[in-house]
Amino acid sequence: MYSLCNTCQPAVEVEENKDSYIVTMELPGSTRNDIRVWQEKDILTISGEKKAPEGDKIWNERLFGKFARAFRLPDDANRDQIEANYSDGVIRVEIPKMEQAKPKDIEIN
Amino acid sequence: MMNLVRREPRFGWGLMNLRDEVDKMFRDLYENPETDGRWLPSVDITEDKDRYEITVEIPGVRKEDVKVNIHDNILTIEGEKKGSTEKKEGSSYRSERYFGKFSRSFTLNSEIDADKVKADFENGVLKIALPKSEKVKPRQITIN
Repeated sequence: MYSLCNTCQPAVEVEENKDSYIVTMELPGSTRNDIRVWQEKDILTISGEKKAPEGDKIWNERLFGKFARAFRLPDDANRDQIEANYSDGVIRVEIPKMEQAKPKDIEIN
Repeated sequence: MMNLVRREPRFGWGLMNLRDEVDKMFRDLYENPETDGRWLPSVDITEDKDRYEITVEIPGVRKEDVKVNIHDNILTIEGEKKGSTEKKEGSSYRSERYFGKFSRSFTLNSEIDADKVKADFENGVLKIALPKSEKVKPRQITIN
């Protein structure tokens, strides 16, 4: 039906709190195996395929096909600690921030 | 034969409501989607010889936040997609997801056995199976 859905990429939300950046993407009806999340240098990519189920459709609003979305990671992102979870049709990728270098007093000898 | 009639005129593109639709598009763009509660989940309907199946995409909605009911031959799916709690304390960089209340209704035809309707919710997809009543199914008649 839609081989590559350019105009209708899955909806994404990017949020930040004091400890991390959180990317959520809506992928209803997918399974873990259909989704790939990877990080290369400062780019985080979520890609996959939303497969159309079989059956004779008499009404169709849902979109199917391959998708890929990439995000540039900020400098303070801890690239080694990225975690991804899929539940209720939403993939949630959490990117922790690096421990900020705190201002430190230097003792005068 | 399409007998599952969608009741909501949300996407009615008649000339009279074109202006309303455009106004709505701009409101949706500039107002906070979290409070307007006007998003509509995408729906597919399939039919085979035994039943109809309505599939509704509601990613991020919890099972306890969805209700399906049939009243006077009208099947209604309603619920609420709640935003994450972190959102309030943090800041959002990009927001394409819609949150809030939703509702969609379908008129069932007489073919459907309303007592045997079943709903199943998995991975953000709600599937409602609507079996056709025995009366309308094609039946082979043996020749004596």
